Amino acid sequence: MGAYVVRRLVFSLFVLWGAVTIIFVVLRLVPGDPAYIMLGPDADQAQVDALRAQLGLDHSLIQQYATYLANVVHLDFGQSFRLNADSMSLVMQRVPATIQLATTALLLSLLIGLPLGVIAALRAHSWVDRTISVFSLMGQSTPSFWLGIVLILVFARGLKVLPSAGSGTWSHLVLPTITLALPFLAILVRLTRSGLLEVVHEGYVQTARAKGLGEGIVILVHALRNALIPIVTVVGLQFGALLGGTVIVETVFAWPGVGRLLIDSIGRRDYGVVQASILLVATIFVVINLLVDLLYGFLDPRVRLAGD
Amino acid sequence: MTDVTSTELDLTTATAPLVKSKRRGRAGSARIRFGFVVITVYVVAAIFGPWLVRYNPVDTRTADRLRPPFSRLSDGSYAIFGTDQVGQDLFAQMLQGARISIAVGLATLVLAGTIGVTIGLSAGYFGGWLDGVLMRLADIQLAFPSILLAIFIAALLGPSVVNVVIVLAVSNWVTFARVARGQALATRRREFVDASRTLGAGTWRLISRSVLPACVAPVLVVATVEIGHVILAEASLSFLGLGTPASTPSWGVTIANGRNYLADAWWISTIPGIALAFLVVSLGVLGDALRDRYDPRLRSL
Amino acid sequence: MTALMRVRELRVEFDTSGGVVTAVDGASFEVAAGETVALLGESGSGKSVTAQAVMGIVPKPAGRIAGGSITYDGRDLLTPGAAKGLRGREIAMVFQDPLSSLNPVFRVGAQIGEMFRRHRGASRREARAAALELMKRVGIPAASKRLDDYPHQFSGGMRQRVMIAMALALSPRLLIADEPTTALDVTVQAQIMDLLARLQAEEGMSLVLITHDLGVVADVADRVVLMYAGRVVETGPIREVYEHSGHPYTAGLMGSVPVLDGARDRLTPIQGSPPDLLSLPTGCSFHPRCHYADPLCTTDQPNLRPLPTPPPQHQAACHHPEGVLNHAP
Repeated sequence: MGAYVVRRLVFSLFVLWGAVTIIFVVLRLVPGDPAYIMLGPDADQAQVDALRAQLGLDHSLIQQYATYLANVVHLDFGQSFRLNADSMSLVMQRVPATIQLATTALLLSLLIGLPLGVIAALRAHSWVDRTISVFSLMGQSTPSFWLGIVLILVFARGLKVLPSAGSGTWSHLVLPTITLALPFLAILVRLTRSGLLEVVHEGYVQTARAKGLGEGIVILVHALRNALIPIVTVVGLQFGALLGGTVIVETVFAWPGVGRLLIDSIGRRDYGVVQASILLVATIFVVINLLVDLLYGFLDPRVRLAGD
Repeated sequence: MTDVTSTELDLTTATAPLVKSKRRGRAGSARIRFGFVVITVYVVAAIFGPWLVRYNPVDTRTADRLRPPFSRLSDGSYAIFGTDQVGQDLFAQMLQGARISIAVGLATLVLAGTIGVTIGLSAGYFGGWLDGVLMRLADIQLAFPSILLAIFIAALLGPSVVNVVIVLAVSNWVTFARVARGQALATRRREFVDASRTLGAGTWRLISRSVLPACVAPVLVVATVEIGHVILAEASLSFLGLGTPASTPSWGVTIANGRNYLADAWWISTIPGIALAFLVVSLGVLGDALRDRYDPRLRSL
Repeated sequence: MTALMRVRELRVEFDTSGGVVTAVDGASFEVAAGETVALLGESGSGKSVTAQAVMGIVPKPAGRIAGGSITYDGRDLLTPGAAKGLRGREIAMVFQDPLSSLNPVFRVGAQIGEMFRRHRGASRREARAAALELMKRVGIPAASKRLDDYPHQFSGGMRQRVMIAMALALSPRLLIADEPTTALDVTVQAQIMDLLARLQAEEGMSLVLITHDLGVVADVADRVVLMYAGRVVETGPIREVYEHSGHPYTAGLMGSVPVLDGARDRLTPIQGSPPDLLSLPTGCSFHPRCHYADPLCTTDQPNLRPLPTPPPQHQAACHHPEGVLNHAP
């Protein structure tokens, strides 16, 4: 297990370094002076000069890269001129709201997606399965910004049972959670269904039946545990899409998280905050995937014990 | 003693997949027909619609603002989907939007496909360190939420149709690269490539004659699966104000505009969303059915 | 001897893309208490499907039992729910490939102990102790250390011992072993067969050994039930079947079919290929590969009947058993 953890940890750091580098490269690839782009047309010369000095734009690209890496390691993304605060601490203030939204959406998806997937697999090719599959396909294809608007129209403006925007109480969480969860939930249903269908013909499932175990234990213990192994990997990767989705959902529902800060900061050309937000979300994603990899090792002893 | 094991045909394992493939095959053709019909309707509407139903972005008529669906307008025409906040016919806007969505989707796939196939072929054909570097790059790209990358690039480049295509292509090349690499590896191992290599055929000739043709079918299948995601991503970026410019009536922009009039005009946001969702569902149905039929191995990608 | 299990006119069908396949077509045989019966046949003969039918694990929804009866200890196994209380407790099964038959994500101790926990309501500790006992009994070295290992950490032979331990957990009265040694190294095969024979003697249970290889069962089986294309073609005491094969297919499996080649007899293997279950020949399914076939064999399906030679338990489904008997080596 030890070697496995170290391998995954190294890969995670590698990915983060890659993300930082991509941001650096993109900033330099965009035509024009990064300082001008980041500050916008109405910045005065003093601000541009200050930023040029901070980014080390007078030095060689390699030196700029080194400066950039050093700043990132110190979580220094500069001051936000517009909000007059440290960029990273601005982002950190918004993190709890995003985590709350993402976690409830994740829980909702698991709570509904896994059972629906299991039911679809057990009733494969029946009308129940077809109904669930159509629902799942629609969930994956529905634009979440549009779904959010429709939910606001129906539940906030029409029925007036839930607030349309803002945060604070649990009722504020309902619509954003559903909107964010739906695509993820839909993918989870699909994955669970196909994963289970792939293992129900395996020998050990037959063995479990021959052991005289009840069908519930055969499916939920012996089959599902194996089916989960490939599912968790994809779920980890799809969690990135869910985090990306927070940007849209937070915008639609005026949810005070990192995603909305990101979009607001883009509008204000506040690129220090933009970089800090993106890197922070990327970090959350990488950490989640590291956890998923560890969970994978826990679920599959063949992986866990391979390195030792 | 006769070797009876050489004719392994165990019923219990052999029959189950047979039954599955039979059902999928039959259902698959219905799904493929459905997908093709719907998508043809959209494409035809996108190509010919804007000629039949005129849309003029500067032609605002305040008298016809926020009219509900099936209203009669001041010039005597009917707006079957209603009008928006400046009195523009929503149906005409949506036809224009279909054009943009489909054009952006296709252009993105061509660009992403070209980048991806080039990288994948190079990695798979030449192997070695090049393969290692390119595939690690693909891993990083996959381990990074693609919409964030798209948002970041779009934020720097600013909203324009060309920029959307660039942004989405950059975040979608990996799937194509993986497919092309897999095909290149498989083709390279086959004998006829070795044979032509010993006959002195050049690298480029080998790739274009043997490796590239083998990629066409799986790449097309992947493209069908991906185009729905790309169209959805374009609409999302446009909704956030990072995709097509606000003056362009793409679906994402129209839906975003309608947000400010939810209380008075539900149709502005709702109807384009239904059109968008239905197109993406149909593309998904078609993509899945094609993949199941022609290349089930691609399911894991 | 009274029969512990009796299979009567069993018929099992599968839906395939090519149409309905009758995997088992009117098979009848019985297993007496304490007896070892070899269920013999090539792949696709219906022997494994017969075992699945007895266990109530015919793959659904493709497969179904379309007719006949299976009784165990006087109880009808095919009435819904009847097999449930017996499966695992009274009737247990060991499969061909121990690697795919053991669950890769659970420790072997837990997989064996599960029998006690789920069937007997044993505590974790009791189940663990019982599993350890069983692992010692089936000859797994250092059993107390290996209790917490996973299936992939065992060798093929040791895995099959784990499977056997699991099957024996609740002291079943009938053990069905489906090709228990086919997936194993030749050197290990004999050890596993010896283990099964020893445990059978100790427990006094009935053993149904499913195999395609007569050699494997020669020393342990009391009786043979030979299947071809879903039907029982010959049955009888193993010595009798060996020495006086009454069906040309049996004779072929024994390694030779006598061929009248001018003046001298010559040994040749069975000609032709195993039957296609989707388009079985008319009459006797074996006739296209048979040297004794005549027009009757192409139209009429032969039923099991006693051979002209004693004992009466030795039966074959052949129109011309005399020819086969006369040319037996």
